[in-house]
Parts: sequence; C-alpha cells; structure tokens
Amino acid sequence: MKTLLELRNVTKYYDSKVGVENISFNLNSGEFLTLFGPNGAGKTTTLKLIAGLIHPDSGEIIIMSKKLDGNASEVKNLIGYLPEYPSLPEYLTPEEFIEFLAALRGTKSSEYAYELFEILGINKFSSELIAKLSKGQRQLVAFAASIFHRPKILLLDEPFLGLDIFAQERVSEILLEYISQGNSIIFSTHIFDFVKRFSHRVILISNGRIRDIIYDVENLNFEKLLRKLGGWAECQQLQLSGK
Amino acid sequence: MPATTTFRKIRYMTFYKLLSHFGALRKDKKFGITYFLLILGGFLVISLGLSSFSTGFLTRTTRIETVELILSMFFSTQFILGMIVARKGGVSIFASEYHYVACTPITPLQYLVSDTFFQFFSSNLLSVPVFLPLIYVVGKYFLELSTFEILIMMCFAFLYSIIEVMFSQGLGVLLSKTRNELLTNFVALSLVLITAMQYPLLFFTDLSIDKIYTPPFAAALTLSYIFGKRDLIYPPIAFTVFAIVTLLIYFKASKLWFFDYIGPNYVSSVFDVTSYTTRLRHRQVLCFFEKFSKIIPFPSSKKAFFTLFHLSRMVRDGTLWVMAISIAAFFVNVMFVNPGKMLSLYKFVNLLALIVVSNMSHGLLWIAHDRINMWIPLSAPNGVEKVLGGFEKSLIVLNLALLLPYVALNTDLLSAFFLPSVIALIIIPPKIIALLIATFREVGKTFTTQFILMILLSLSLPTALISPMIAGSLFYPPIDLTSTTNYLSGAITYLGVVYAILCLLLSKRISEYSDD
Repeated sequence: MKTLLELRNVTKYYDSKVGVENISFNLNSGEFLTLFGPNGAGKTTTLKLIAGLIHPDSGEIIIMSKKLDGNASEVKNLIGYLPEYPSLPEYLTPEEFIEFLAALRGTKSSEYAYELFEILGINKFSSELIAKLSKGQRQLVAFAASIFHRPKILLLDEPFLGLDIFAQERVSEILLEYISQGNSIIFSTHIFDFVKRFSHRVILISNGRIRDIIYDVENLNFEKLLRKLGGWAECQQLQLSGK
Repeated sequence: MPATTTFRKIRYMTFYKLLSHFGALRKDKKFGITYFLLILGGFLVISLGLSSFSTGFLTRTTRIETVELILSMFFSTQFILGMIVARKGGVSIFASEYHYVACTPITPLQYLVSDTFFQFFSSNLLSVPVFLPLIYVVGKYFLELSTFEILIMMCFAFLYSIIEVMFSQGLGVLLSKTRNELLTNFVALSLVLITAMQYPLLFFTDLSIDKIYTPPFAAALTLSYIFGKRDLIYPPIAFTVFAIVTLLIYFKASKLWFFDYIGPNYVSSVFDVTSYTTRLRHRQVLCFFEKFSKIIPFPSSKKAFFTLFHLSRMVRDGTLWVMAISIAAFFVNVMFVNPGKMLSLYKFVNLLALIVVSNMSHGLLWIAHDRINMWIPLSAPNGVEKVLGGFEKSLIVLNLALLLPYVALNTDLLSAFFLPSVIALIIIPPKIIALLIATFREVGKTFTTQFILMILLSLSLPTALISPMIAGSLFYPPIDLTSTTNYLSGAITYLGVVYAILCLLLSKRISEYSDD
C-alpha cells in the first residue's frame, strides 16, 4: 500500500501551551483514519498542520514524498480541508465561492463540482447568498468546497455537524466512493458510531500526544475505548455514571 | 509560476475581499440606498464644517499655511491609523479566508498584494466620494488652487496611501512574528507619538498664534511641488528612505507564512458581522473575563458584575488601547507642539468630541460583538436592565479614565464655570448610548442595527463639533466663537435636548425590552 502522508515527530506550541507534541503516524492510500479524543486533545491542530494552515515548530510532514514547508503551495492541491466550524463568505453564492476557490487552486470549476452540487442538493440554492442559507445547507457547501478539486487526502473535522440524516447519508456515500478510488481521509470526531462505521484505523489522542493506535476497529466497543482512554477525567466520570 | 496565473489569483483575491467587506450591499437594496445617504450626509456635514472653518481660517492665515495644515493632518492621520492596523498584524484576514484561502496554493506575496489593494480600495471607496468633491471645492474656490495643483495633491495622497498600507502590513507581520505583545505595542505607540508631534490641532488651536509644528515629510513634499518651493532637501530624502524601508519590510513579510501567527482578525465587515466572528470574539472576551476575575473577585451585585464584564471586554477588544493611544498622542502634541497655546473654548470642544466619539465607538462595538448574546439576559428576570446598567457604568468608568489625565493637564477645566459641564459629560453620554443600544437589539433584521450605529458614529464627530455652535447661534444669537459663554450654553442646550428626546423615545422600548 502506498504511503500518502507521513508525520515525523511533529510538535506545535501555541505560546507556551502544547498544541501537539512529538506525534508521528502515516496514512496509506485508500485508508480511512480517525483521530479520536476529548476536546483540546490536539486533533484540530493536527489537521491544521497537515492542511498547511499552521507550520510545526519541529518535525516534518511529508505529503507524497514532498516536504510540507514554506513552499507548501506545491502540495496544497493534494489536500482538502473541512474545518470543525467552517466560516464561509456570507455574501457570495455557493457557485461563486467554488469558482473563486477553483481560480485560487489554478483549476477550472470542474464537472465534479456540479456533480457534487447535484448529489448534495446544493443546486437548489446554489445562486442564493450563503448568508441566507440554513446551518445544514452551509455545512454541505463547506463540504463541497473541501472536496471539489478531488484532493488525494481529505481532512474532515466533524463533517456531520448540523446535517440531517438524509444529508449525512449522502455525505457518507460520497466519502465511501472517494475512498474506493484510492484516496485517503483523516477524520476527527466525537461520535463513536461514525468511528465504527468508517475507520480502518483509530488514533487515540489526548493532551497533544498519541496515546494508542487501534487497528482492530471492527471489534472495538465503547467500553473498550473508554478503558483505553482511562487517563481522561471526563471518561472516568462517564464510566462512573454508567453511561 | 506564470505571471498570468499570479495576476489572476491577485485579482480574484482582491475581488473576494471586497465582496466580503461590502457584500451586504448585495443582500438588500436598502443597504445601497443607505450607503448613498451615508455619503451624502457625511458630505453635507463635513462640507458645512470644513467650508465654514476654511473661510474663517483664511482670514487669519495665508493659503499656503492652510494647505500645509490640511495636508499635515491628512498624512499624519493616515499614518496613525496604519499603526493601529499594524498592531493587529497589518494584514486583514477574514475568517473564511483563514479556513479556505490559506489551504489553497496561494503564496504569501500574492495574498499580501491583494490585501494591499483591498485595504486601499476599501478605505477609499467610503472616503473618496465624500472628500473628493469637497477637496475640489475647497481647493478651487477657497484656496484658489488650479485644477492641476489639486490633481497633484490627490496623486500624492493616493501614492502615500498605498505606501503607508504596505508599511503597516510589513511592520504588522514582522511584529506579529515576534509574538511579543509588549514589543508590538511599544513600537506602534512610539511611531504614533512621533507622528503626533507633527500633527496640527486643526480645530482646537488658537489660530492667531503662529504654527510651530513641523509638517510631515509627505506634506512638505506635496507642498513644495504645488507652490514651487524646490529648495527643500529633507522631504524628498525622507520620502525616499520611507519608500525603501517600506519595500524592504514588505518583501521580508511576503516571505513569511503569516497565517501561522495572525489568525482571523477582520471581524467587522461593513454593515454586517457574521455569527462566526461574533462567536469568536465573544469566546475571547469570556476567556479574558475569566482571567480578569481572578485578579478582581466577582462582585455580588449583578450591575457591578456586568460593569466588570463590559470593562474586561473593552480591554480585550482593544477599545482601551485605541483610547490610550489617542490620548497619549494628543498630550504629546499639546505638550511639545502647542504648549499653553490652547483656548479654554477649544479644550472644551475637544473634550466633547473625545467623549462622544469614544462612547459611540464603544456602543458600536457592543452591538457588533455582543448583541447576538442578548438571549442570555433576556432569559433572566430584569436581565436586560442589569446588562444595560452595567454597560452604562462601564462607560462612566471609561469617561473618567479619559478625563482625569486631561483635566489634570488643563486645570482651568476645574473652574466653577467648566466643572458642571465636565461632570455632565461623564454621566450623560453613557446614558444616551445605553438607551440607544437598547433599541437596536433585534438580530437578523435586513436593515441591520450595526449599520444604523455606523451612520451615527460617522456623524457623531462633526455633529459634536458643529451642533453646539448651531444651537448657540439659535438660542443665544449672535454667535461668537470666541465667547465661551455662548458656546457652552449652546453645548449644554444641545446635549440636554438630545438627551430629553432620546429618553422620551427610548424609555418605552426599554420597558418593552424588559417584558420580553
């Protein structure tokens, strides 16, 4: 299996606060990798580092044999990123937004973008201003904006937030098809059901460090996960309360 | 990378930024109409003030001195505003850009260039329609300049604007990289104070006294071209050095991935604020409040609690910093440029403008960032009254902080004659602002409340300067600008009338508000 991404001892501090510390892992083609951990664990920081939004203080990020550094622009078209709370341009239409991103990425607004609009139902409101859209509709636009250029690696931070069950299903189908084409996904979530449904591998992360890597996701249950995360006060409380 | 791709990216990026900034105009036609009214209103008020000022001023000074004074004000103001922007990173990053643009293969240089255009256009799109005809009329008819001379003046102004934006961006990025807030504030403040020493106090100085400030190099250079004083050596050298330094720091900044240390910092688009940025701001304020409350324990009274809350927001959102920098610049100017040359009358005008504008700005910030969180007090009994009461008290504290050093340096304001007015200034504007914000509580209206407040803010300074004079002339004719009695009577009448009308109009809204 081909390695698409590799993180080597990556560390990032925000002033004196730890973002992530000394984390290393790789991502293979066609793999669905989940980052799982409590709030403030370092999941979003990890995704931002891979997306090239922020740069590590030390360590290396290698994307398809190219180092992600100051000249990150070379590899940025290989990545798509959906933030946890995506902020969209309020006064553009979804169509204009995709066109603008396509111009910045140096690609034409591809047929795939229109296909996505069709599948996700965005075409019904593609000429409305984003400011007038509902939360779920905005999330669909944000999702389309992260995937329309067909990146090799897709970074998703809580992609199902605000989506109704039908939209969740449509997004799920797109993701499964996307993986089947040899692309890879790194997925960050708090929802255990999604972890079980999609993941090939789960990385447990807390306080900016990798605590464990789970390969046998099929046999993973919630209690087992809690045990593995036993160091977390929140999880211990959950266990005590019997949830 | 081919040049065409680069230009295409810069063009798209600039357009995107402008759309994000002025996009509310697309949402509702009313915004366009109001934008036009804002320009018209601003133009009328400013023209009225400046024209009457110019005619009065020209009787006592030469036209060269007048042009020098206006240019000095323009260039110094541009620089001071640039330093305020530089303190926050110099580059304007919308939240959506942080999430999506920074992930595209755009280079820092491409982004920086598009931001230069954006900052230049966004500031001029609002001000040029207001000032261009005014400058032409004042220049042509009052200062007797030729069209060519006015054109040269405008070209210098635009050229300087662009260089200044680049300087502010370059400095802002380099200072942000240090992640040292103390150093950033120190550098920005130092540059502001140096500029303040070249700032003529247009409205507040005794006009019969010879000017003793040194005009900024850009003003001196423009003047030398217009009036043919070609023997000047210092201004061209200074201008060249400034341009070279600007280019150097700009290209240094363009090599850095500044998204790493400058997050989304551009929260207030014209006419609207997105819920995301509002939420972001509110979270920052809450975090700061938590730290603040560790130093000063939570007061038991709810009103005192909200006073503390609003005060912590002022510190966090930079209101206090802007106030502090304005006051420091003013004092430096008064002490070094115009020591003992100010008339009491002008001191009072200055005081009035300072209080009205700072209070109005604070109200605007509250509307922009906290209005959306009104559901919290709305769900508590008498919660709104407590919040507004706390808001009012926090403004009184702010006004005291503004006035104490000012009064200490101008002890004549403590005289029996001035003191009641000074006390009224501390108490009345907060009341008015609190009442005003109480009326603008509805979230999601197309004709946004923030925009209405923006109009009020833009008109508050000229209104504060001119209205007392108009009121004085109406109630105590004939108007005599040198008579303190007439002026003060006018000022107090004006404030009294405004206050009474607002109280009558708004008290009903407050009671409706509390019933919700």
